[in-house]
Amino acid sequence: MHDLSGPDEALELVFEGMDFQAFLLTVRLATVTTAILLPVALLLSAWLARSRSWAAHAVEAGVGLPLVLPPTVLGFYLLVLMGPATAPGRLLVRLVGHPLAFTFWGLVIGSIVYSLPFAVQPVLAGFRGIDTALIESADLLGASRLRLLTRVLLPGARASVLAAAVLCFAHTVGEFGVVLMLGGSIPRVTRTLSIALYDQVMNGNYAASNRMALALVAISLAALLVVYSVARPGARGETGGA
Amino acid sequence: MREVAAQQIGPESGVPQQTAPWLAFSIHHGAHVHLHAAVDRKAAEDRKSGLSLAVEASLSGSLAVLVGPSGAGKTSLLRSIAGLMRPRHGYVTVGDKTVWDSGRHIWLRPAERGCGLVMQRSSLFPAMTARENIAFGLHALSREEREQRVREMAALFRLEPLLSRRPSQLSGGEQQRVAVARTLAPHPRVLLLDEPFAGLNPDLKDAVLTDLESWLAETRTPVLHVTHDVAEAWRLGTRPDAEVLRIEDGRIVSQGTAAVVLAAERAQLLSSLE
Repeated sequence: MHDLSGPDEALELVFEGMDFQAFLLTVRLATVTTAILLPVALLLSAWLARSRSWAAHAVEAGVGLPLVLPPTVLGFYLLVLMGPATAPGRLLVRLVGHPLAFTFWGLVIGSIVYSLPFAVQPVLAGFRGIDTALIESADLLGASRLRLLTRVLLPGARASVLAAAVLCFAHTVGEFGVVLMLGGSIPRVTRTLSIALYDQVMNGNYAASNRMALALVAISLAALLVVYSVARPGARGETGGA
Repeated sequence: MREVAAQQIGPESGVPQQTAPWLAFSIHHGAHVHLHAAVDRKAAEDRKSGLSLAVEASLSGSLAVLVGPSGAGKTSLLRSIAGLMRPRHGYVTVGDKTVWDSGRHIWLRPAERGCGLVMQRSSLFPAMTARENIAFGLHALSREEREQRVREMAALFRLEPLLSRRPSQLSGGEQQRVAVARTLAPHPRVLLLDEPFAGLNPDLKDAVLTDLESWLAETRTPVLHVTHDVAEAWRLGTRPDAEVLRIEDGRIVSQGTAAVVLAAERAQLLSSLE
């Protein structure tokens, strides 16, 4: 029987068995991935929204590939690409000094690829929803691509950009297959919350597993709450036209 | 009334003789601007309509009023001149500057053409104030010059009290006045008006037209004004420096003074009043 005589004891019970190192590593991984991926998604979406070329169609299909590929397949190819057996892998080793597989930055690369569609697709939908007359007006008034992006597209798709950032963060938090393939389960380096949860289950620690699972559910629910609150009709953010 | 026949345009256009029908449209505004547009409408964006244009016309005044029913090709012509629509064959020159020539692989971006276009809807940037909207095309100017130009435009279109408002806080007429001011602020070489006052009530339309006419008198900027409103066409087309063109089914079928080109509508209006 647990003694719940004070708040400290109650907190201790709630967080008992929680892998805080894994929790912090997961938050760090999701933050770095989102910070890198969002600017990439903005530039890529700005191009995809306006281009009618076959290259744009091919890139859009490629961006969506992680949605349909099993994460382990993606993880396997990334593992091979980062290894010394391939030219890109050898180049990375030369640049960084060591293989990126089973390192934090290897996980970041994997997360960027895996979460790419979750960042690009909402932003792209937001950009495509902007009244074309606004974009044409900006063209006629001599706006550069950067000015078009920062002054017209971004203000017009604020809610979509926020949704993309939240989805990207939450999706990285819940990542499992790619992380397992690319990073294994190295404490403080590659063991994220979902991997730690898996390890606890394998060890039969169901109480700790339950707490970690609840933490992941809470993060996911909070993310969806943000996404749906900014995406609901009448929410501030999307400004299609005057 | 002068009937305008389909003609082959310049030899540099790259358009073969047998490619017909298609459009050659010329406007000569005094001595300083010559505008010539050729559009193969059939090959352009609007494939569904299947409409093609096959005309050539010359104008000598500083104001050209293009009238015609919906779907006649008025907007396609303006968009092609402005660079928002890229037909397959033809060419456009603004003054002595070729801004598009399919035969010579010349294509200038809309901003490089010097054309100002006001559309039917104001298309103001919703996240910006009226002041920021007017200043949007002035980024090449210094801050002082930019502010000076905004002040001039605001005074001309009586927008001073509205400069801090966003488009959602403006009425339809005010939005359209800001849109016209934004288009005129960079001093375009040619002004293209695509039924910009269609959604306004008569009083508002009158006010905006008055503002615009005072600016035109001051700067003598050539204007190609598209409208299907006979009253508006009559008001503008009866100016001494104006000419009216009628476009039907992709062809300029008549051109001249308002009294000549709009004679049928005028007679119809008068008979309805009897």
